Amino acid sequence: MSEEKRHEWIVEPPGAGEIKLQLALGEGVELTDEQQAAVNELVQALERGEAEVVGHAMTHDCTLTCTPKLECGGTLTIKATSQFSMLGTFTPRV
Amino acid sequence: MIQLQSAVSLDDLSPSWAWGGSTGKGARVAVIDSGVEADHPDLGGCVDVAGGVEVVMGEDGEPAVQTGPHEDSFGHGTACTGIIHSIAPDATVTSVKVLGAGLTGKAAAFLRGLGWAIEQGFDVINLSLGTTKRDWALAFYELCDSAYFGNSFLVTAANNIARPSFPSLYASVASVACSSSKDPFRFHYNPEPPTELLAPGIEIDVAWRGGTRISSTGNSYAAPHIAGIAALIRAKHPELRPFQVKTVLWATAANVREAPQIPGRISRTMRRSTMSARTSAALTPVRTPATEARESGGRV
Repeated sequence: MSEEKRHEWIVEPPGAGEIKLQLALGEGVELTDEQQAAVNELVQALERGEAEVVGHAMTHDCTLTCTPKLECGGTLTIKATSQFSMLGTFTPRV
Repeated sequence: MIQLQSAVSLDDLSPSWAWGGSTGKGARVAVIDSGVEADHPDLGGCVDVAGGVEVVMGEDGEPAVQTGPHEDSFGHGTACTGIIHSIAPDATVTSVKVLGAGLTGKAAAFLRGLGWAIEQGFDVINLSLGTTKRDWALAFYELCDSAYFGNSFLVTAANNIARPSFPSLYASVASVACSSSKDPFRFHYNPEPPTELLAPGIEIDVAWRGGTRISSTGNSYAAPHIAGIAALIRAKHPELRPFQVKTVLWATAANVREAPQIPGRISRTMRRSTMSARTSAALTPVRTPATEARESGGRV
């Protein structure tokens, strides 16, 4: 096995200046009221940093179904140095 | 009793009747967005440059409307305008810039820009943007009602993710999500509101800032397809009010026209097979000020 392969991450760590949060619930799991309240508080804190108005273009590759209760089992990445944002980049068509 | 000079049967509401022969000539469309690159070669000079406005936030925190030429800070407004122009080539488009370089903006500026467009009496107003801030929901609700009664047809993009976004949730607007269709005139009716229409929006080739074109995806691009068709309809049938335009759109939707027809009944058998998973996610029912008021027995 090559040196590069042996050092491959199973879960990619956050990049420089990033915080990565993951919330995953197994099948049939229901949050307690206390857990739900904690998640709600987290999401509200994130939402407070969101822009007030956004255009509805998919400017990122996110395929998550994010809801105010984070009902997805995916990974939510937040740039610590900026507002909560899912903006990405476009590839111009030649 | 109010007598009407003439009326149209539901059976007459075909695409041919609705927009056949129309180029959108005479229709005035406002695009509330990131600005429009008026001299983009694919826009064919459809933009009323002098009539465009930019809403800027003053030092006092109040939005101010500035008339005159402006740039597209992102490309998004140019993309929406290009779609409208490709469908309704003779419609005039006016840019109302409320979004900045990050495709974001202030709710107060958005509200003021929408209010300005309604005051100007545009036939169609395209809104491929929204706010998730509930504090602004009522203000947008009232403004959208004023557009509806004031004869401006609002077309809004639904949020791409399953979160409430205003004003796309209101009955006074035509809320649009994207389908997988590639035919710009092939749109669908969604029988599960608040998103009532589905139009092409996935991997759409759009005009972009800098005289370029890109491929992009989003409900943002579904809305201007409907806005363009609405411009064709309003140009051909200026007597139609917004609720009638929405009815014409329902009647001319592909899945309505192709559904089994039951004599004497408005068909409710719809085909949803063309909806994408992304579109489905955008259609999750949400609570609006109206539903909350209904449930509490109060008024909005």
